[in-house]
Amino acid sequence: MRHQVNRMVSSTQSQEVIKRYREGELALAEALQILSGNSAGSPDQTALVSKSKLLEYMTRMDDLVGLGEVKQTVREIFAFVYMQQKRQERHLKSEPTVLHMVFRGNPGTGKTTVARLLGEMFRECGLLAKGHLVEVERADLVGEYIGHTAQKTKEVVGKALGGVLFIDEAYSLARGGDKDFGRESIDCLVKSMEDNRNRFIAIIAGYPKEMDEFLRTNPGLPSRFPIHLTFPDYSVEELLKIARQMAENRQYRLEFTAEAKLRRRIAQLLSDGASRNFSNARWVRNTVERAIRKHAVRLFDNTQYSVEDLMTLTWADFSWEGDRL
Amino acid sequence: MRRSIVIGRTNVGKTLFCIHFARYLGSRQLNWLLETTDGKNERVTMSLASAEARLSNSTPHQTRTLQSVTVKVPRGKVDRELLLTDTTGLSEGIYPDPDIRLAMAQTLEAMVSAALILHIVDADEIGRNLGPGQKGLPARSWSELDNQLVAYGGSHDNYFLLANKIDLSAAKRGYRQLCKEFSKHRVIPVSALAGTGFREVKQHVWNLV
Repeated sequence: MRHQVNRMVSSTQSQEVIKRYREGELALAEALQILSGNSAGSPDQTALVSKSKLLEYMTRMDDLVGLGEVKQTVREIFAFVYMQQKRQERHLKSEPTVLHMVFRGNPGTGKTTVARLLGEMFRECGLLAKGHLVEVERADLVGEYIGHTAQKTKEVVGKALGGVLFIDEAYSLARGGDKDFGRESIDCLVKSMEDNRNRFIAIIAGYPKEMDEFLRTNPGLPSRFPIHLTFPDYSVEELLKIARQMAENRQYRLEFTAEAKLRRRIAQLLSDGASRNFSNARWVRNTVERAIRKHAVRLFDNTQYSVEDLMTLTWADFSWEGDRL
Repeated sequence: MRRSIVIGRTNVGKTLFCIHFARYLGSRQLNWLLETTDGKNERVTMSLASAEARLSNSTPHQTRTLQSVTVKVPRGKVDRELLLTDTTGLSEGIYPDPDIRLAMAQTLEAMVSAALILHIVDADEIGRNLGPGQKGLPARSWSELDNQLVAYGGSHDNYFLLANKIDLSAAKRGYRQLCKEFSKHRVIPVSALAGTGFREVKQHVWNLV
């Protein structure tokens, strides 16, 4: 047929477009635009979130021990973000969402790890341009003289644009009293959070009690951080599981004698009043790493070692001398 | 049989145009071929009067299937047959009702394969919404969809813009504005109701068969 000679869109392509329109993925005007060959290829396919990629991150999240509630909330957030995007594709209204968060939890309960993972996941969603994590503390935000603070804080926010700004021990910003520059930093932060609402995600983290106080002293703060995640302390079993996982990741194995010794020690630490300063998973990591060093020293004098020997951590490798909580 | 297709937004008078145009070409009885969205074909024969009464009225999306009428066009000593296809009105965006969306997709499909495209627009509505001295077309009665249809037509050899309802008072202004805007395309003033301008449309259809 004559009229089909100069058609720029092949018939298979037009079938595809019509199919997409029928499924409700394209608006009529868009479909026509593609059919008439006026558009540059199929539009914004690349901007779509790939569900498989997202699920991959979810499994990585699930690999973390414990943290049931945290995982649940993260799942909610991602399902929400994903669906918002799907809605947008079909030209339904989608609200830009505020995703600033508060992490409350004792040391070593996975706050930083989760924040890092979240950054990557948000990048995968297209919610954040870069998805990197900028970790700061009071000293990075608060200046030494009047006017210095705002400048420093703005600089930090500028660095975090497109990613996640993670403020550890955020309560320390409000601790210095009325004349402290920390307050100025909070004000500046709140302001830039409003201005760049969709360009970065602020996560403030700290110990539960202090964070609660911090949020109470600044009435505007809780509402600006709509998502609150509580990181509970790990139980003995969970800590042991973490230890096993850490050893496994480094291709080591815990002999059952070692495990028993570790279990006793953890139980003792948790029941002690010292648990207030106990650094949970971080302690486990340090302990496992120290055991690996001891294991190396123990094997160093041997002349022959099997693969088994090279991989197995025994009770002798775990000692509690100079053990820092 | 070659297909000529009548497209346009809802309620511009596509169906009425088809019926009256078929009458103009000499059909005394309409032999409808209904192609439903689930792939069934059905043939219905009805008189002109009953077709008008049953198929055409002012509710949008009155037509939900491809309904084609076979018309005979005298050419030389023999009559050639042509399929004049009336389609579901097209609406902006992604239509929420899946049935109608299916019908619109069917319209698109037919449009891609049609030999002649008659794009009907409501000239009267355009004329009424036209501000004095306004450049371009009024957004209320001329949407992105129409623009895209015209753009699509640009890549098609046999595409005609029919400025319908020319019998109404404001339609002349609308028609002039359409001519000004789309100088590259052939704009034909017609009245589906009164039969104005059918002669010119017939000429083009004639060229085709």
